[in-house]
Amino acid sequence: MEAEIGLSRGLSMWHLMMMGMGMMIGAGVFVATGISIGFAGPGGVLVAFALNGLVALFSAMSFAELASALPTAGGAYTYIDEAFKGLIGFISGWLNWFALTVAGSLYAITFATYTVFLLEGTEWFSSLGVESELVIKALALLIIAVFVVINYIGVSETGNIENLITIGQMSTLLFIGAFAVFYTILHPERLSHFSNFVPNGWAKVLAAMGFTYVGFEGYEVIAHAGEEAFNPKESIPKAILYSVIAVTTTYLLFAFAAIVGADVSPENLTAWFASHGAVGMGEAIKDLMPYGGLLITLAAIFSSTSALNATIYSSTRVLFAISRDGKLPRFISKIHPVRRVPHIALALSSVIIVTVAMALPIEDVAASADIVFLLIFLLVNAAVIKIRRERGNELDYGFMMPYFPFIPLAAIALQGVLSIWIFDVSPTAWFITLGWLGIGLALSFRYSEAREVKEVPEREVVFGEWLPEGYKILVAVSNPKNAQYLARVGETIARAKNGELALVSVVTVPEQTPLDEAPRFAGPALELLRKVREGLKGDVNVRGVVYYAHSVYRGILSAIRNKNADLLVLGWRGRSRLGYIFGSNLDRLVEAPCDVLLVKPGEGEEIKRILFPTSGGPHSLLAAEIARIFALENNASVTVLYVDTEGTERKRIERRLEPVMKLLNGARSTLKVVRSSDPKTAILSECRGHDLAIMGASEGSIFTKSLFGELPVEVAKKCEKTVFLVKKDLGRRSWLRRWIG
Amino acid sequence: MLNSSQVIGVGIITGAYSLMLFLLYKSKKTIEEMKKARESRRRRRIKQKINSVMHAVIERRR
Repeated sequence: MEAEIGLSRGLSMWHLMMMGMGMMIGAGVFVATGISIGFAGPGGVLVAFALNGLVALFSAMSFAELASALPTAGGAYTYIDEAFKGLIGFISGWLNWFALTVAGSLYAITFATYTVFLLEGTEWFSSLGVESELVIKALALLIIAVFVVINYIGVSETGNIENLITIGQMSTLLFIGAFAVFYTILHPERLSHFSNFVPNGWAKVLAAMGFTYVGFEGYEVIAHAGEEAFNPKESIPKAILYSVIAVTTTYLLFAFAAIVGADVSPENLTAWFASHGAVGMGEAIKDLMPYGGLLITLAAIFSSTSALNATIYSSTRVLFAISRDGKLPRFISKIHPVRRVPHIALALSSVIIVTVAMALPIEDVAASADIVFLLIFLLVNAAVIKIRRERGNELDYGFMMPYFPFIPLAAIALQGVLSIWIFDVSPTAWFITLGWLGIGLALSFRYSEAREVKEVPEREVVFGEWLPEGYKILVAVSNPKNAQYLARVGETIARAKNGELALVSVVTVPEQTPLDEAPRFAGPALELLRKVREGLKGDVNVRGVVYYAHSVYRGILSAIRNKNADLLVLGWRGRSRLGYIFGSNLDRLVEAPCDVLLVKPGEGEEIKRILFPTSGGPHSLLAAEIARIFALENNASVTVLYVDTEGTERKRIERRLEPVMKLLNGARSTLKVVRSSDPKTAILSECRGHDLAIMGASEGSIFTKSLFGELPVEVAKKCEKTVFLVKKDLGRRSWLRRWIG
Repeated sequence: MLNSSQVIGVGIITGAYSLMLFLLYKSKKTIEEMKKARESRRRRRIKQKINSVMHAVIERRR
């Protein structure tokens, strides 16, 4: 599939950590910590967090090992199914779906609870005289509806906003923790809040561990990003392990802050938290610092909304996968013809999220999520042992956990004990989980004839053969208006270089929809490729390929790597999108690991006079090559334009442009030097007398994200004639720009 | 003075956290070692490829 070929490795270890920590600090910690102090006491919660961090690290090591060896697979369900197949595989998927939907309910209730907590302090809310519980349920319903609609529309990539939210969450919690440490230094008497360390005994610490475990899941999302991570064999295991340590440290500080912050006598502390329930943390932080209540409320609201979005999207995808595998009725895996999202799976996930959120108290919701996550992680730890024993020799691991198999065995034992101990906090949660398991078992017998999923190729060859050697030009076509023109440009270059041409069209589906479903939307792309080929001269070897991807740029990058392309030809309409230089896909594609030719088609197709503005440099050399090809092909003249802003001697200019002029050998070329302090206006005025302008990218700092440089882009936007912008792949320098710029 | 529960609790927290850091250190070391092994394998493969190309060029010249 797509990930078998190296893709645009856009996610660094930092990005991966942000993703993992963002999911972990979902919202569970805001609710579960206060409730846990209420039954396990102040010391009990700190011990529970430290031990949970250790248990989570054990499981994280299993995930890290599996993710490093199977980077294409994502999620607990996939690993367990890979190891056990059959009934256990199905049950893990069934539980995984339930866990994600219940977590979604928890996040929705957390959002509503903390919003009401914020509003309760206002006179306006008091004057309404409405029951808080009723408002919480109504708000939970509203926020679920909002995110279901967002997921239905197909918007799932929130990009940098997610990162900002995570940075906001982490820094808020760390700030509160640091403030508490400073506060305790000034008021050491607050340490007396720990005098009644475990008021209800050590057994309650185990219950607190199980109950707060939901705050330690979420790092598995890092494994999902395997196909997009830079250096995944190293960055994914590191990001998983660092996230767990960072989050454990944050939680310890945060819980410490709540305990020292609560304005209550040490002997009444546990009872005080028990009486405040889910908003205990909010009340304690409100006592600790000015605006503490507002700060913690905003952190809880942001955390819960971002986590709710992610869980709705993940639960939909898990349910879709189970149904597609034939383990549940097939109608569930239907894809909406217009939205391209699995709308029935989304609707069913939403029904569970709403039902659990409306029917159960928040403690039972949190406990249900805890039980199911513990059981799934238990199975993942078993899977890591089985996979290493059976397939260890054939897999290429990037990380193999030390002290194997003692660590996964310890994790299995501890997670088993913790899940059972949750019975102590919420027997209801266990009954619900067992009931869900029963339904799953019944369904597994009904749909035991799981069909083998047909492997859908990442790409579909429409026509042509690809020769192993020679210059390879890849033309990305999607817009029927310019597809033919772009293909002819590619064909001209391929003919001159004795190369080959690949016409590539990308069919995209949203992230919620697996790529396997993309071929059903391939019709127009296949037709376009065939039509474009018919319009070519046919003296060059042409291959037409359709790629399936979640985004256009991923599909094209996949094609570049797969085809080992030398030159990528892209079309541009000449308009910028807000926040981008060319557009969301083009901005990334012009940094592709090969030479790039961006074509902006303009007035008229006849080429008799070519304008080649240049000041030298590596990109101009490639531009000169292309100018020569088009000059010879069309018997056109080339005006090499040098805009002199400094009053340089003509001889020096000629010396500077000597390599460029040499490459134009054979074409009718003349050098024209224009004195002007405004190169843009000078080039644009010259453009009027020419049919085609070819420009190389200007050299910029590797730290600036100027893509082709400001001047060529501005000229291309304003020039009414056809413009070619050319960019040479500078190897390591381009690579640096891609990652730093 | 700390009471017995506090002593046990602080011991568990310190012990668990230290073990986490130790496992992180060990894991990091493993990742680095495996990376080194991968890179040396890659270098060996490149060397073999270069040698085979050089060999073919020499053969052709002869």
